[in-house]
Amino acid sequence: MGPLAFLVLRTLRRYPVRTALVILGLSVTGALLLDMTMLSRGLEASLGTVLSRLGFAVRVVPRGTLPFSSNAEIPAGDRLAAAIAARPGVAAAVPVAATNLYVRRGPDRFPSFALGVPAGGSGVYALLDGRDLPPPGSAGGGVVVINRNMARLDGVKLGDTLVLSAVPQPFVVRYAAPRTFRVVGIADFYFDLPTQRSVALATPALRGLQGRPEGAASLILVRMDDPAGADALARWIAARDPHVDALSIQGFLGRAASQLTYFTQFSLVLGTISVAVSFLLITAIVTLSLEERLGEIAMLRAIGFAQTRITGLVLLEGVVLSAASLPGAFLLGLVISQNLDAILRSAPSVPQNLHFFTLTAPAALRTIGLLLVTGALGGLYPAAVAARLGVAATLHGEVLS
Amino acid sequence: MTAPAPSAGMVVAADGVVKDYRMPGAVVHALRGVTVCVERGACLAVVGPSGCGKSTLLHLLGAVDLPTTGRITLLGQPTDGLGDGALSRLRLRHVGFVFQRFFLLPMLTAEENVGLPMMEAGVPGAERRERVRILLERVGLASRARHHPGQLSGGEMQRVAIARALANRPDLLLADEPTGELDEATGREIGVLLREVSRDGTAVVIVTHNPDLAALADRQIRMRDGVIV
Repeated sequence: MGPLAFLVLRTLRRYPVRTALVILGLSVTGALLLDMTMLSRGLEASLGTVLSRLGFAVRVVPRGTLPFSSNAEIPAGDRLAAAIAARPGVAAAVPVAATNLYVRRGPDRFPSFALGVPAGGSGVYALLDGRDLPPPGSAGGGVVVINRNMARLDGVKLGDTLVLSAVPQPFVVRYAAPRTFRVVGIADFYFDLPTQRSVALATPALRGLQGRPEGAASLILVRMDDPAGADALARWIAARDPHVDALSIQGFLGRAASQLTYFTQFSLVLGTISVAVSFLLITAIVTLSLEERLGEIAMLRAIGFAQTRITGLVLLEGVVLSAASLPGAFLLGLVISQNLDAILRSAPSVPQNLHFFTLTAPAALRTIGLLLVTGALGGLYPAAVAARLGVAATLHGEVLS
Repeated sequence: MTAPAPSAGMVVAADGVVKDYRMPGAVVHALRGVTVCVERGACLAVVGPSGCGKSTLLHLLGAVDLPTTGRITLLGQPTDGLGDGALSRLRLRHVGFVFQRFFLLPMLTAEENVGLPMMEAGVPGAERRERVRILLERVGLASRARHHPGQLSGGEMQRVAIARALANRPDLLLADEPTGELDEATGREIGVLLREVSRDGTAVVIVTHNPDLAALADRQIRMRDGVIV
């Protein structure tokens, strides 16, 4: 250990209670900074994790929208999906239709989100129990896969019969008659809201319920052999059809982030405040500590510590205080973020698998870097005081005092 | 006083040194043309009333401060042409300081205080520990090596300070009122210790009000109002 680090550690141990209180204070402000860093890109990171897990490299949506964010559709979605599927490197292109339906089970009737998919195994949801939808054209149609909420909240079980309709009151239906479906599977629909009911059924059946012709799609999901080609494929799709946006995962996250700027702004404001408080705390305590030992600093200068070394000593004191607060900041920050995340996720319209506070390596590194830089900046003023110290005058003054 | 003739044994020399301090509305003339030199192994006592410029001269000789005019030559190098880094290195490796108030770091043990200048000079750990042991033995405090300054008497603290001043085997040891905070008997012991240091070849300059301590030196100079009288 060099003399500066040695002296800094011993100086901080000199007043252990004061040092502990400062470190505790810095841990609290550091925890807030960590939480704001996690929040600024947390939803985006969480979304990215879920999207990557699904395995679709490209999403094709009606121009200017995000998946299922509106009722807009791609008019010739099936044809576009077939064209995409024929491109080299594309493993599958799945056109998905989406709408809201009403489900009746016995005397109960409730709204449900419905996904129309070409066949089972599309990867749009993850089957948890039972079996998947049958391949297109096979016997055994008239089946649905439901989500966990419907099973848990409404007591729907495998083998139960559900009546699906496009409107709540069947007797006013003229074109879209209700149909009966049997539940064959229970699945995790990745972006469900906490109490949202969802069903998946074959696209023709969904179109029949809507009274609409087949061919349109709300979304096309593209799985690729090599996801590295996603951007090139997205460019090809966008050039082929000007009415759609083709988004790679990064593109999707970029568009989502542009619609979530209030989180970034909110975290920037609170993060800046926490950095400012840390800075002031470090400046105050290091300045106070320095003023108590000006004679010692003058002695160090006299016995051969150069001005730059003394400046380094004081700056290092700020950095070490910051560094010592890091474990507490992370521990406290993670505990607080879990609670805040639970509060925000309990708000309506928040999908179950998404988190607002996500600890990522960049967020952790950004927090550590900011806190250490704040420590060094906090030591700047006292370091300047130490550097300007008149050695002879201070030594003389200490004797006279 | 005429300028000293340079010699191989000269450690530090002041030649016509003037030191002024600019205060609001006035200039304080702390030194008004002081010329003095100290050779290797010599012990010089600087005496005089408070405010006569003794400590100012000591700080200039030790390259802690620079003269307004005149020249300080330390180990053949004029100090006025050197930057802070070079002056600091010069002090670290060639000058030892003993202060009236000891200025030991209270959070370090005696051995750590003594070892600090060696750490800064980059002396390797094993060599440093051995030299610290020898120095503490020399000042009679081997048994108090692990004690903090708060656990030592005034005389013991000044002994530790002398050991620290000798840590990097300086050519020049400067002591500013080294017995000012000590009782008579302890002050005498410190004086004897400083005299031994000079006999071992280190040039020693002692600023003091204490006539008994000054009497131990080879040579005394008396100052008044910034000049040697």
